[in-house]
Amino acid sequence: MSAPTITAPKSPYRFVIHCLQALLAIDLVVCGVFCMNQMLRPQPPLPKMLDDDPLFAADLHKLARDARNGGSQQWLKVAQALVGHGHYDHALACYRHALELDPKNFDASFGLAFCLERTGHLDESSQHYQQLTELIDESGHLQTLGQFSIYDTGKNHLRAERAEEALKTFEQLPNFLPADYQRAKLLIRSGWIDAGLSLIRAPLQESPQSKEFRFLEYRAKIAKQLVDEARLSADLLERSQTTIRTNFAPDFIHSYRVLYGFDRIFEDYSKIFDTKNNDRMAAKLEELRPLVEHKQLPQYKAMLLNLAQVDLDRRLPEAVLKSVQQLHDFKVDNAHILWIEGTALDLQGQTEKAIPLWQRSVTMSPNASLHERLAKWFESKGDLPQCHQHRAQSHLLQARDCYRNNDLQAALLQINQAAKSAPDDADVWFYVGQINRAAGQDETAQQAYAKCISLDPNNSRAHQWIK
Amino acid sequence: MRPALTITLLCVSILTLPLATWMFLVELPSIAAGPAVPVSSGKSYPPSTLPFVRTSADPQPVGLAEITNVQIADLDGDKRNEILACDSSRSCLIQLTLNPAGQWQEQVLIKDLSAPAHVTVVDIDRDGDQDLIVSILGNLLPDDSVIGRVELYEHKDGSYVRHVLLDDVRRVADVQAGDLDGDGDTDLAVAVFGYSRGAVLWLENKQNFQFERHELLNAPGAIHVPIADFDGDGDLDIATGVSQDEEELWGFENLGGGKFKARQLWMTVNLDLGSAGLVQADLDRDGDMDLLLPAGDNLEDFDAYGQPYHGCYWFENQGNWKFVEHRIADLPGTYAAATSDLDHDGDLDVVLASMTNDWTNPRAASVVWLENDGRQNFKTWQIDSHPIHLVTVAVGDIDGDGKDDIVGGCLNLRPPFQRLGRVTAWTQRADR
Repeated sequence: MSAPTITAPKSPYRFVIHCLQALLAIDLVVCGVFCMNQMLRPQPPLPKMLDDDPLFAADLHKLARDARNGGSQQWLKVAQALVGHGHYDHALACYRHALELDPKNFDASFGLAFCLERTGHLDESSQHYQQLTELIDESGHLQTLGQFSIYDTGKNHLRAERAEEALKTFEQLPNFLPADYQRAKLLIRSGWIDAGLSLIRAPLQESPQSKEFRFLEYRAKIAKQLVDEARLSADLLERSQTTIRTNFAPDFIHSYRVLYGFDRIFEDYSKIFDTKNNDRMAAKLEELRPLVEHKQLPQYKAMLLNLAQVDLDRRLPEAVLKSVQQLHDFKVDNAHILWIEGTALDLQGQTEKAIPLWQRSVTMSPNASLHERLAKWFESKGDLPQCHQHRAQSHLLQARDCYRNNDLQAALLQINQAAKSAPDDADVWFYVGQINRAAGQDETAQQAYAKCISLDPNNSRAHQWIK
Repeated sequence: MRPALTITLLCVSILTLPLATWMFLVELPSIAAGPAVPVSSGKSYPPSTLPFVRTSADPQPVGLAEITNVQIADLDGDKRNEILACDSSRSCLIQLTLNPAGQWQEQVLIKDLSAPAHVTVVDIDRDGDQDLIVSILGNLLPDDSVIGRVELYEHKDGSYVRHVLLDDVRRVADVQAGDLDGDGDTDLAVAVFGYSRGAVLWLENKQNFQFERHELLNAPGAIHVPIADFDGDGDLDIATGVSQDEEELWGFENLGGGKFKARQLWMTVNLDLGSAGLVQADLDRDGDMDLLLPAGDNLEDFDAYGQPYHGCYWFENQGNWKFVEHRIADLPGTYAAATSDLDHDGDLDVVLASMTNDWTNPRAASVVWLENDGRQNFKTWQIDSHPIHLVTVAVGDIDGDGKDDIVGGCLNLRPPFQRLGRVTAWTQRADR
């Protein structure tokens, strides 16, 4: 006889509990998969040394988190932030990962080549630029990126001292002025003077004020021993004002630098600066103060200098003098700070104390408007010799600036004023000569050179131009 | 447990688990290997076999020093050397002395100098005391404006009287003195660095602190103008290193009577070499003056990086204005060089300072010396990795023990703003 089977009484909850247990198990598996998946996502490598800019460190950590949970574009952003702050090695790694995620990410490709270039891996960099150029050709767009890739490949050849390859590479970029410049320079330095001169003719016609092309013209004429023509080129070079960009690396880096860290605040500040809203400018700078105060950072100095200037415009001399003292405590002293300090004292009505500071400032760093301010002060005190001296300096400085900017009418006005205030100053008469010669007034120029030499027989520059 | 409670707990768990996963998912640490960061370009070398002791007037300097030049010279004629340092941040020239007890003394010798780049100690008026000539940049940072000057500080009655010897020029980086026209007085060679435009000049002494300028070369980026009899014909010639994008060496052969012939001695198409100075020395002791070119200037970049061609180049003078290039060191960011027989073995060794080694690496060298084996094979020994950002170096006996010491100056313009220094000395122990 078998024993009767005893079964527990059926609970109405048992089924529900089993169902819930099954649901929880599924939950655990799904969440576990999610967690595992997340933990297997790589983290962008970040530099250890980020103490100098806590704002950048915070920005970077946020970008890194986004990248870990994002795709190629997010990794690209981390790489760009790193490039902007000079962490090329780490940026390289991030660019590579961005490209692994999306091989058609042109910006990542260019950034990778750029970082390889900056870290001295010239051949690898050129290979990546080359690949990028081919990709762009296939896709038929992003021509500018392709242009820079070829140009930078040429520069890589120069850095590796492969002049012929560089020349061939730059030849791929006709009518791209920086490449024309590099080609002409290579030709002239290699002794192919006429070929170099023919190459610079068009750019000089288009941009006669170009320092770079005018300098090449001068070098070519020296090499051809055309002494008089070289002297004229040197004279034009002295009055050239335009610069052709031949190095795009700072621009590339700067575009990312200003997006993060302290530089972002200074960028915001410069935007407010254009509005001339002094209160907002001061508020933006004060935002920076707790982050940089009492730290050995250049941003502290920049913050104080800008704040002193803004407070000067707000006519708050006490605040200006406080910033000046903080700059002195930071071991910074220069002509500009002397001017600021003097101007704050002047605002306080202590002009007598301001004058010696301003005098020191113009001695260190001659400045037309400050010379004029000093001239007025000495005029008010009846000290005419000092007044005339400062006034003459003010006019001479303005005349020289106008002359070098090819504004010859304004230069003539200023130099004639200088000659009135300081008729025995040889330097003034030299510039009377220079400006009149440039304006085509040869007779007046020759008379001025003669006057200059009579005052200073050792003035070799006047001797050079007198006939 | 009561079934109702069990059910409640299960329900809560089922709801909480995905919620918590969703909330904390992004915070979970990564266990995956991230993309590999390339090996740093920073270089370190075996520790120096010569014992040097680091010392400084201010081991923890205030602010961010911008020392552009250090010199070791006996300024006051007391047979003990002083250190002179151009401080661009404070716009002054300072004098430092180190007594045998290891105590430093410091004083501002001349103030109100607008970005001084170099000081030259010379008795320009030949009155028996040392005068000072300061090369004025006007702006430490790239600037093509006409803001340079040559200022002479005449030592007179215990103080210094200012004379402007040259103005209306772009940024001046160096001045050297010598009788260039053979008339018995002291003339000057001037490196007008400028930026996009510059020049090399010589200033003819016309007495009473009047000088007549003569242009030798029109080119941007002239750094230094060492004066020596490079061709061995008995008169003084001038050499210069032209940096910026040019990267050339020039010699100016003295033809007599104030005439010079410009000779291009060397050039490279590597526009990024980063020439940072030019030092004269008879490195191979063959009786003529060679040239040393430290290369590693990357100041045009926001954040510089050591390059494969950085280091120190020796240009061996083989006579008749032929100079042959030898690369003798690969220190990244090499910015300054000085020579001395540091190990007293009868040949000239070289000291180098770096501005841009990889400073994220705490072992990366900032000062090294190159031991000459007597046949101009050089072995690099690391002296220190602290402070960083060194741009100028000088060698001489600063503590009066008869052994040459090293002095370096820091230009703290670029990050990292750590391991900062101002003027630092590395003294050799006399008991060695």
